[in-house]
This record gives sequence, C-alpha cells and structure tokens, in this order.
Amino acid sequence: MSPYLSFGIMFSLALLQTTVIPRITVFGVYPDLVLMAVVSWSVLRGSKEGMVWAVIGGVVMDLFSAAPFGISTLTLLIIGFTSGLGQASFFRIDLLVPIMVIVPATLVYQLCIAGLLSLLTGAAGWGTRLGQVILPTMLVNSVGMTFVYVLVRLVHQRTHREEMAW
Amino acid sequence: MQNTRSRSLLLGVLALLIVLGLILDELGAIDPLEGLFLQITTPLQRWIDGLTDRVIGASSSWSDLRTLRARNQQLETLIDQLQIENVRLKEAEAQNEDLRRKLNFAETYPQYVLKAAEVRGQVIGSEPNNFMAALIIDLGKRDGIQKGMPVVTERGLVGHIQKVGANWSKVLLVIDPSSSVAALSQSSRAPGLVSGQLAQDLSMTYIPQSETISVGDVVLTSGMGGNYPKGLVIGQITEVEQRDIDTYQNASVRPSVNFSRLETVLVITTFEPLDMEQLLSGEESPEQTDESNP
Repeated sequence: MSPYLSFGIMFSLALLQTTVIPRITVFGVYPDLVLMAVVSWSVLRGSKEGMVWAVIGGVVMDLFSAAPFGISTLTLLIIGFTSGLGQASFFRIDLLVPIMVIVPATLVYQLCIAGLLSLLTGAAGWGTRLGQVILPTMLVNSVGMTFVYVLVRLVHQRTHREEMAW
Repeated sequence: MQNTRSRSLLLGVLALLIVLGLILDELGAIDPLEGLFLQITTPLQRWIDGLTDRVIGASSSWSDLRTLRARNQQLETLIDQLQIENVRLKEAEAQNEDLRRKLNFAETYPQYVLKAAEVRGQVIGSEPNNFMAALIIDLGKRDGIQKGMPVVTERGLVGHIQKVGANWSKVLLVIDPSSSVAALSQSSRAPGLVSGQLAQDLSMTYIPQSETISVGDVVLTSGMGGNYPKGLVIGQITEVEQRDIDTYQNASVRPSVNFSRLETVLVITTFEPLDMEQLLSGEESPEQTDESNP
C-alpha cells in the first residue's frame, strides 16, 4: 500500500478527530478514531504497517493538540507494535478479536497519555481520570471499533496484495 | 526471527525519534513546523466545522421541536423573574453610580475598572484526546493575540491562550486538569484556587477554614498571580466540603460557560499577564527599567 494513501487516510481521520468527533460525546467522552484505525490496521497487516499508520496519525494529532509534541505518536507507536504481534497467528478470524484487542489497547493508550501528561504538564487527578475518562472510553471505543474495523478491512481487501513501499 | 528483530529495530528507532521530538518541542524547535501545519489546515478545519454545524443543526431541529414548548413555558417564567430582578439591579446600579461619583472612586482606584479590547474568534477545532481540554481558534498574531491573554465569553471565563500562530491560537480551558486560577467568592470574598477537573467541572481548593462559603455563591477571578484580570465570572459553588480536621475547605464549582457548546469566544487583548518565570528570575522588563530610571 502506498504510504501516500496511508498519509491521506490518517490525516483525514486526525482532522475528523479534532473537528467532528469531539461533538459526539457519550458518557462524557469521545471515541479515539485514530487509535481504532491503528489497532485495526495492525491486526490486519502486522506491526510494521501498524507502526507506520501510528506515526503518521500520531504526528498529525500532536500538531493539532495542546499537549507536548510526541505524546500521541509515542503512545500510538507502542499500540501499533503490540497490536500487530499476533497478526499472523489468530487475528484474522473475525470481528470479535479486534473488538477484544481495542479494550486493553485503549487502557494502555489512555494510561500512557495520562502518565506522560502528568509527567510533562503536572496535571493531577488519577482517580478522576480512571473513572471519568478511561473506563467510559474503553466502552465507547469497543462499540466504535465495529464500524472502524469494517471500514479499515475494506481498505485492506482493496490493497492486500500491495506491500508498503516508498 | 529476522522479521521480529527488524520490527523491534524499527520500533526502537521510531521511539528514539519521538523522544527527540519531545525534547525539540520543549526547546521550541517544533513551533515553526506546527505553525506551518496549522496555517495550512485551519481553513480546512473551519470548513469541516461549519459543515458539522449545519448537519447537527438540521438533524437536531426535529427533536428540538418536542422540547421547545416546555422550554418556552419555563423561559417565560424565568423572564418574569428576571424583569423583577432587572428593576432591582437598575436601582442598585444607579445608586452605585451616584456613590462612585461622590467618592471619586474610579480616579482613586483605576485598577478596579476593567478595560478590555475584545476580538471575536471562531472555535474551529478541539483537543483530540480526552485528557486535555483545549480549543483551536481562528485568531493569531496578525490579530494581535499573544500568549497568556485571557479568553472569555459573555457568560464568563473560558481559559487563556497557550500557543499562538499567524492565523490560529490554542486555548487551554479552565476545566483542563493542568489549569489553575486564583479565585474568590463574590459574596464572602473567601479566596481559593480553582482547578480543572475534566468532565466540564471545576474544584475550588485552599479556602481558609475561617471563611464562610455556601452553595450558590458566585466565584470570580481574584487577579492574584497576575494571570487573569480581577472580576471575571468563573462559575457557581454547587457543593461545599468542610471538615474540621482539614487545614482548608474545598468546594465544587459549576462553570458558568458551557464548554461543549462553545462557538465563538472573546480574547481580552489589553490585559498583560505577569511573566512569573521572569519575575522569579529577578529580571526587569524594559518598561520597568525605563520607569525606575527616568
């Protein structure tokens, strides 16, 4: 798959994440569209391609964010790497597996973001974050993953013979 | 095996690059790239935001009709109450004006007069992660915006400018957990520190035990610390937590601004926030130097 197409997809998703998605709040939180796309791509295509999507999506998110640069990229990179580790063995089975992957992926993603923000900006309130943000986001992302995974799988099916090359 | 090694190597290299990016960001080296990126994407964000507004407006208008009748009834009752209150306030205002004139108050204490030049900015983007509360607005250096300037709406305090580009600015909201504002209760003048709590909520801490605060008190900025001008409305106390064993009292504060429905904001451009870093390092600003050496 062309890296330029990857850039186009991730740029569009990051743009939606900063404009449309914050308007769709459920239980006070909004879904992590870019995270769901990275997990879906890693599950379908493995760590290497997942990490490429993670870096593109993360950099664009960091440029839009008021948080210190690199937080989203670093966290998404870890998620992209770990989500794609079992790709060859069992991840292509059905829709249930990516939904099961997004729950721990969201937990790791949110804990990393919260931890890095505490470290770099001094923002406190771990209890509040766990109850008000992390748990509801895990639920919202697991529902949203159903739609995102189906769309990402369509892209995968269209491009599955193409290796990513520059 | 080789595949695993190359994957790990790629992860390591990318992680190193990101850490390098974090360091460069701290040094301010990423700012030009960020500025260029946001300058390019701002029109696109503005267009998507406008489109979203139209879509949400069209879809919600049908469901709104059902609640409109009940809401209208409530508003009519509220108008009646407000008209009575308005008469009372006008009377108080006239009396206040008269007293001010007599005491020559404004001339004696010019710092009590809030002078504010306002510019109106359109909210075009929001923070992509759930842990921060920030906005992007379509005003920047070319509109006279500077870092630290307070951002308000007609309802009260929104936050302050955190980063500025040519045609964009990032606003850190008061509900962000890293945000704190020196505040006081309007009725009892009890001081405290208002901090962000996420979930559109605020908490007021460090209220001395000797002070009396109660539910419903309006919380204002106190001007202490020099980050915000005095007298901006922050919110209203909804809960008081007072225990004799604690050194201070705490309170929950409901912000006066509805942050989920922000469309336009005002930036107070005549207020110059105090640079605490410069103050602590003991350096004098050029203006101060000029004043001290006439």
